Amino acid sequence: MAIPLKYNLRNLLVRKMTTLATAGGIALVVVVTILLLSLVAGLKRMLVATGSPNNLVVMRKGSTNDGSSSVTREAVQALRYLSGIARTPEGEPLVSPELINQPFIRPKGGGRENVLVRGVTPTGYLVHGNVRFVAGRPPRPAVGEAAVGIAASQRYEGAGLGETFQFGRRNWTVVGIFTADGSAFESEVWVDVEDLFNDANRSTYSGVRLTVAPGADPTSSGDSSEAGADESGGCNTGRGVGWLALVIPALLLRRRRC
Amino acid sequence: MTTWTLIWRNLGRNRGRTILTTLAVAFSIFLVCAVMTLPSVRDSILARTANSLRISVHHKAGLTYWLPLAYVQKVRTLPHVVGVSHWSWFGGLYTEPKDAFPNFAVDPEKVSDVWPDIDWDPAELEAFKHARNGALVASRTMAKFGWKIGDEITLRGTIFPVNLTLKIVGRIPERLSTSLWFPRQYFEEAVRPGGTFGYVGMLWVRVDQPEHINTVMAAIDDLFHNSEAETASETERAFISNFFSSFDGLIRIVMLVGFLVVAAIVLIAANTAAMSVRERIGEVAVLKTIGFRRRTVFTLLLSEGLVITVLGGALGAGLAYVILNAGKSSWSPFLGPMAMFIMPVSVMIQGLFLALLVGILAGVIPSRGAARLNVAAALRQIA
Repeated sequence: MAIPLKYNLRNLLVRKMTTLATAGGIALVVVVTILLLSLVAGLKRMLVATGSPNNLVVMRKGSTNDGSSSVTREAVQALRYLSGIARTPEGEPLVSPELINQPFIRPKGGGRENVLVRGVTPTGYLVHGNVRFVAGRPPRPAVGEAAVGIAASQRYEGAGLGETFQFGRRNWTVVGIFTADGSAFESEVWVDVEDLFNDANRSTYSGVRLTVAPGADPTSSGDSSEAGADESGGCNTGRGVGWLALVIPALLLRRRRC
Repeated sequence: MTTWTLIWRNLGRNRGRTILTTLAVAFSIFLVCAVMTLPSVRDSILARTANSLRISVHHKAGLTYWLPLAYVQKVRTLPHVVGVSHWSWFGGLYTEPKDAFPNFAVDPEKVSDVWPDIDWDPAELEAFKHARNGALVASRTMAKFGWKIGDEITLRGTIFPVNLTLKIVGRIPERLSTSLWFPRQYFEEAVRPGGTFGYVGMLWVRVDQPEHINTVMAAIDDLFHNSEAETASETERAFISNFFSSFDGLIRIVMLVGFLVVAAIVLIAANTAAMSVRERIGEVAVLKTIGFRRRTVFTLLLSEGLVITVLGGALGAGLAYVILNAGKSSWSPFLGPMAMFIMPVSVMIQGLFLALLVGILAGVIPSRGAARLNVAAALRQIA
């Protein structure tokens, strides 16, 4: 005859405190493990999802994040007509010059944070393939409109659709809310790049994102010049795409301009 | 046989259990020490600024917005202002971005006016005033890269497309700093040859007395209200505190995890103590029969638990100190000011006290129970 389960259960009940203490200890360990694994999973998801495998980011040589880098307008012009870059059906190269700025923005609960504001051209929304508008539309150029990532729209004062969002040296109108596959872009605010140039008083872009044409070889020979294109680790899902040597921008970037 | 021998022998009875419990305590104390380093470093940085007479002035819109250089002279004329200096973030890289350190173009003339609380070498400050491309570097950064005074180094510009070659002329003798300062003029020439750049990142203003801090802050912001670049002034302490606020959430979660681990260990250690006491009811009964007082029995049993937890705690805290301080030389720019994982001795001592507390909490109930044992009933149980 098998020992009835009742025996085991009553055994546990006889020493209630010990049973509770052990169960409690194990419960706490499980909670801690889940918390830590969730933290890691959340970070991973955010970093891995940021950026699409067919995109390259061009920055100043040596920079690994587009927040601290500088690319001149001439360099961008040269980039647009390189071979191997994907184009829209109308023939426009999928090249998105971007400017990063970090103004203070007030979260709803008070305090003040540095928020990443990205100035993009309309092409930017095409190059960033994983950006989808869940409300509203992309901002039009030069009229002070802003699109807010879904996480940012919930966090900051004035970041809801249709609201007047105050940051930098002026007010902006929120015309769209977007998601981006859970990536870090969802905590950003996107505006027209020329509006941002005026607000932040800058004259060079931070970086350029471009989409590689399907089938094109992203590595190409060329002289190893001063400027190289590099993708930030987060911008490419771990696949080392290689160097795209750019001759003309290199010559242009050599000149000392701010 | 002394009490000590008795305790030791009892612990040796079930070596496996003793060792495993000790290791469990060691691990959790290690974790807690590592976790407590974060707020401890933040607090010690903030404590330094508690009595600071310095005010930071930046553009109201954000730290990435420039202030006109002309503001410096205007603020200098305000009452109660002892000195005004300016910083402009250059953001140059020496090697890899992960080894980045803060580097600023500063006003070389006003260093001691605004930072008299730092123990400058007067000769080095003089050299800094006169060297065209001199640099003052924090001791930690010099140690990290093996630099000496007189070395020439090159910083690659990131946001500015220029590389700067600097000659180290002195140290910034501030324990927690990792910064590098170089003269404004050199920066201007590199970035705008011929013309003037004309903008600074932020101002540092030193006030004569603490009671004038608020007046001066109000005066500065008033002066530039409705102008091209509105300012926001705040005390040095508030400025630094704001930098840490973005890590508040992370710190809170990490500390929560640390303390949950400790709670789990208390329960596990309590279980161990209860188990070992339960096994020895007979012995405890005998001890009481031959005349050992309740208090002695209690102390004996509690001490066994305490030996385990204190040894485990010492092991854990010690390992944490060694491992975390060995990582002193490498830090990640990603973590910003929190990257200085120097574990202070105070955290190690806190860890040890926590281990003691864990031992007491875990051991007190089983030990009391055993001490109050009804001898006759106990002996009947084992008979």
